[in-house]
Amino acid sequence: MFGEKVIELLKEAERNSDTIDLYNDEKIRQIIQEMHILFKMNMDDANATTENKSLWTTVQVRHSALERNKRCLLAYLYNRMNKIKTLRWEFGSVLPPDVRELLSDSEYEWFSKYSTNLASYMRSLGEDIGYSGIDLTENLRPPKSLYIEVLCVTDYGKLELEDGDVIMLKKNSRHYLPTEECQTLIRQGVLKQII
Amino acid sequence: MDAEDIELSDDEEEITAESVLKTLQNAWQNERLAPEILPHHNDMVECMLGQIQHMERNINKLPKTDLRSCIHKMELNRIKYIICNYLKTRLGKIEKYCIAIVNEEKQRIEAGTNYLTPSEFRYAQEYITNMESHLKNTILNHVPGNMQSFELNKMAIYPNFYCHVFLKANETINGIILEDLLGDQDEEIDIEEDSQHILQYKPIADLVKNGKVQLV
Amino acid sequence: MANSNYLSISDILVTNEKVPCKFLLDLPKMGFLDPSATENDLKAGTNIEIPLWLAESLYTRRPPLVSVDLPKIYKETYREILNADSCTVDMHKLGQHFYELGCYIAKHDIKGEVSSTLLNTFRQRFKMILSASVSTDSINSVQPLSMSERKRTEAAVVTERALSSWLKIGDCPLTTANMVANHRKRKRAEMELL
Repeated sequence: MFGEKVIELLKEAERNSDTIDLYNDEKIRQIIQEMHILFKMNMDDANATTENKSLWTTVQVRHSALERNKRCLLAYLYNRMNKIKTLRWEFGSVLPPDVRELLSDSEYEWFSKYSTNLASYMRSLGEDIGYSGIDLTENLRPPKSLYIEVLCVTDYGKLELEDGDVIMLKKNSRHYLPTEECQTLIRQGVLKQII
Repeated sequence: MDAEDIELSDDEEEITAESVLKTLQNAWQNERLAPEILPHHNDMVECMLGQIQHMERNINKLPKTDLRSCIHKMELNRIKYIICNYLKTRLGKIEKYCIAIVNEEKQRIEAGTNYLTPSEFRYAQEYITNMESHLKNTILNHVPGNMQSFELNKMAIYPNFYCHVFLKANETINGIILEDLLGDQDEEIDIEEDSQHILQYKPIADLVKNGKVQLV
Repeated sequence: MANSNYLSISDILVTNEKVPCKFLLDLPKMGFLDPSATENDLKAGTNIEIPLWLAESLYTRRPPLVSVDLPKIYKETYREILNADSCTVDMHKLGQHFYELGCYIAKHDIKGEVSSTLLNTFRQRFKMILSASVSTDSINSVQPLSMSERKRTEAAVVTERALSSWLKIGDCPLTTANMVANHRKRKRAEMELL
């Protein structure tokens, strides 16, 4: 009740800092339950302080515990928010289903709103001069050459290039493609650059 | 890159695209290395975007295998990368320090010295709104009554002004005051033009913003 | 401190560490805070170890409900060892959050000796870590480190590797995004367990 459960939650989150875990709905519910119990105890004791003045210190202690639990829960969510942000920049605006199921519904809603906010910002770039916006999620690495050789790691299917050519991306096939067009696929792990 | 003259203001100042790119590059470097968000250079970004459009049109007129088109394309990619990274770095800071930035920006807008473009400011406000509604829906609306407030000021994250940065002086500067945090012995130093130093960010923050030093 | 903001998980973990305190007032019904207590109520004058977050919160009330003492690793004996040669100390065992907790504790140290010990220790160990991070062999032989030291070392190793590969290849190949790669790795590991 005094922050032990919530610390377990946070330690769990810290353990896997490179990926996002399943949203621990159950634990959060339990912690909020505990907070309500603490609150009730405090209400009862606060009313009783007229008879027993020393109960006031107890109320203070429980209040601190409530604040602590609140802080930890918010930190848990905030930390996940940051990871979800990275998901948008690395997986794109559509999440694969096995990633989607790691998020709670509210988190997915936040993800969509974040995506929309980002998109409208990107669209507004250069609108005064008639530019149709830039996609900031591309161009993430300094360009070294116009074309690169890539190996296809999974069966992806057809890819249409800017000049109209269509390529078939089959597992283990090699291609020589313009850097611009394969950046996203490399980031998503479909293609691998051969040096 | 072909030097093209572009008029950027009413007093007939001719600035080449090359010098705009150089200024943008410096701005990008500063933005990446400074802990806080710096004043925007949106006019330069737009200028470069205009240039990119212009160049793309020219390139598309050339045959695909022309050597010139390859070289120009590389140049274009390079410029696009700088612009994207510059804007992305700014967005990153806006997201991290959103609450602090929006508060400070409100005052700066009144004084006419805003650091964010209107789009960026809208983005920042929307970001806070989304965060607030997410936290409220998930946690705050479910906890006991007196814990439900969304305390903006507690949650604000501030950049670390005491971090150290490498800098190069663009001109001779006198009278930079270095605070002594542990005692009373503040030091005053002068730096020569073109000299390089490592200093704490706080005393030279204004010098970065008015262009007197360049972060490296 | 740059990292001690409200939403920082590392700050929350640091403030979870226990510190010895003395209660200045009676505390009815709080007997469970003291594992050796026999009664339900705590009397004024009891010395127990409570988490830092609780200690700080109660200390700042007016009137203060507790007085905070120095944990033993910040006391005289340990300070002498650290000031003499902190590089031989097993920081992992001594205190995972030695520095960060020390910053909080230093506020309760009237003599100011804790802060100078912290600075001293940091300086000595930093030199040691810096020279060791150039190669992976020496990094492994360095005495066990505290949490923040470990993070800094990992960052140094990553930077060192990036620098040497950039010098060799002269290129930065495009790679699968970090989270994507890790997500796939985890999935594969989970599938293998099934």
